[in-house]
Amino acid sequence: MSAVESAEKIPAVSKKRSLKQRLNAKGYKWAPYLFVSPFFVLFAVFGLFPLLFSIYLSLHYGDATGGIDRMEFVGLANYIYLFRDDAWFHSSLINTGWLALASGIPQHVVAIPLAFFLHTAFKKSRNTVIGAYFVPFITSSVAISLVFTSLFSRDFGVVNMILTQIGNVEIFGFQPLGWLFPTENVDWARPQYIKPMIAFVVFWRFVGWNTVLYLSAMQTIPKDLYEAATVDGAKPWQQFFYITLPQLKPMMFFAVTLTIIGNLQMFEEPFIITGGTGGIEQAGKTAAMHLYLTAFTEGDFGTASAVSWLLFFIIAILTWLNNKILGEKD
Amino acid sequence: MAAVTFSNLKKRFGETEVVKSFDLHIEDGEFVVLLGPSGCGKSTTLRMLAGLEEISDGEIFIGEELVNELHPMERNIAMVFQSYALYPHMTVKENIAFGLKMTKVEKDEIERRVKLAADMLELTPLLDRFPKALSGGQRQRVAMGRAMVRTPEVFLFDEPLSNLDAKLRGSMRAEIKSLHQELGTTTLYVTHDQVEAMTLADRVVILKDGFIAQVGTPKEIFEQPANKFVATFIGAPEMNLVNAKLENSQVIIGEQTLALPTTYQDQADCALGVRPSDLYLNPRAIESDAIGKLTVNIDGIELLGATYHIQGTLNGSRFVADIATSDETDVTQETGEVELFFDLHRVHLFDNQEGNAIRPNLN
Repeated sequence: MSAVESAEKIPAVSKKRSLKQRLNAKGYKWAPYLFVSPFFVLFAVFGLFPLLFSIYLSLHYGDATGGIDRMEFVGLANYIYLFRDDAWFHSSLINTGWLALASGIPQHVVAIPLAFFLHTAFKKSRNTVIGAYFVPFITSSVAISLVFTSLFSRDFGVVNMILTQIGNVEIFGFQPLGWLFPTENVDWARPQYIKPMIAFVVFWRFVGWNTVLYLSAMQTIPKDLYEAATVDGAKPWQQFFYITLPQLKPMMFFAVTLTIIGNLQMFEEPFIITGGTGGIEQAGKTAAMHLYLTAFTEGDFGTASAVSWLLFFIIAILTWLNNKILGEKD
Repeated sequence: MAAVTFSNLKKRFGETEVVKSFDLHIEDGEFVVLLGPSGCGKSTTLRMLAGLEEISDGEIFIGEELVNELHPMERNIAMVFQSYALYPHMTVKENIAFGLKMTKVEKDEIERRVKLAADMLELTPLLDRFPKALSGGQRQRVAMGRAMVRTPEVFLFDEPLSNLDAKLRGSMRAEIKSLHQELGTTTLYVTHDQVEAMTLADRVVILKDGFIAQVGTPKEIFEQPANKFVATFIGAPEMNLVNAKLENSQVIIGEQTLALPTTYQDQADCALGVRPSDLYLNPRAIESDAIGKLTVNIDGIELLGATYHIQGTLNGSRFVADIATSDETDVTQETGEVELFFDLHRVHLFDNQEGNAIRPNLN
């Protein structure tokens, strides 16, 4: 066979494509993008679009359900209205701040020592105890709110029953605890009581979650540090303040950030406890509830979107502040 | 400063006895090293002295005082940990001053002592740094400074150099040694590194499985090991041990016989021990009235720079010779068998049953 003849046969053999050729084929090039596309498509439709559309809405006025062409561009009028004229928004913002502090601060003030106690006092049964504290966090907030509504019921609630029984304790015809505890049933739905009640429910729900966060951080603190401190003469409470607390700072930053974000968007608990109305004088109405009611009851999506963006800026500023106070400094 | 006495000290973790009857007296100002393999109970013993571990049985005295029930801070000890255990959120200065602050020492006095320690350990320029900005050696010095400022009666070191690289370990070893010479504080030092033990200690305590295998000066430990464990644990490469018989003060290894210069009782089952560094290719290199010779099958030769390691087999046992490259005989030419010479005064004999050293007859 001549060289020419053999060369002619080569194309027939090379019809079977090499691995490199196959990898260069169109299908192979697009395959990776195809596999990751579900996330991007879902994110674009349910994440990015609503985000950008809410900016658009916040600059427009009108019923969005009637179609975009029925919306009127109003510039920053929605924001100006919220700042200047919307008294309910102002009160809801104050309520949100009040609830965020009243439920948020105790969460951490209780969770840190509680975690330290669980960390030092429990060895074998620790997980069971942590589990018990964590249950409220994984329980439906609707169920929790309904149970607490029942507990705080004016005429049949357990809370009133206990408090009035203590308040009505009589010694020689005198009620020594009457000045501190109520002697008659309290109407927890009244404006001065509704916020503490909501704050207590939120505190109760999230204290376990924060305890778990702090406990996990404590478990990463090297045992050597405590031993060195013991040899250095630090008593257990000094070890808590000089070793444990400073070592918890990164976790404090994380946990407080979560609390800020969560509490400023507080919705479910106040919504269910106040029956979706915000309560008497709207004392239990939060900014998130105001947003919801403005959008879905009043149909004013423009103002509601502006509320959401204002909330976003408040959360961003507070998180930045938190980062300044508790964040890592190099 | 104070003496330290351990009397019949024991430590049990559940069913497991980690320290089994530990008796030791450390003189005031002495530097004692606890040396042994992992799990021998050396760190546990140190931690019992520090008060970080409960004592299962026995007594510990610091000076005249029984400290069994005393809190660590009441024992007036200072400890340097393997991990350094520096407080990461405190500066070097705050780390050093922490113990003094906890014991409510006056501010001026704290300043004075921190300055003194920092000067001594060359830490003055680093006082405002945080531990994460320090090198391993600097961290180690901060840990030592923290221990020093409290002017304790006893210094405890728990493998303080094991996290450092070999070069730094050498220089830190010298610093610890000079610090001890300067302060003269009683020191108990735990390590598994025999070089640290040999270079630092006034006396070395070798532990094995919770028992003391031998106590002695580094020289005694090296030259007169009390048993096979100590003989092989100390020295690198480890001592060659070959099964032998003792008859009429002669060591019989297979076909080979060595006539010992001192008299021994007969022993049917014993082991001859020769350190690799005591072996020579050239008998003229040995200054002794009694030179022994063993013929060994060569398995391989390794060049280590200043020395060669001749790896061989003798009577079924591994046999290594550490030969200086300056030896006149060209070791790389050796194949098959090699004759190795040694001073018969420097050989060791061990009872194969108990593992204890066989001493020559006194008469």
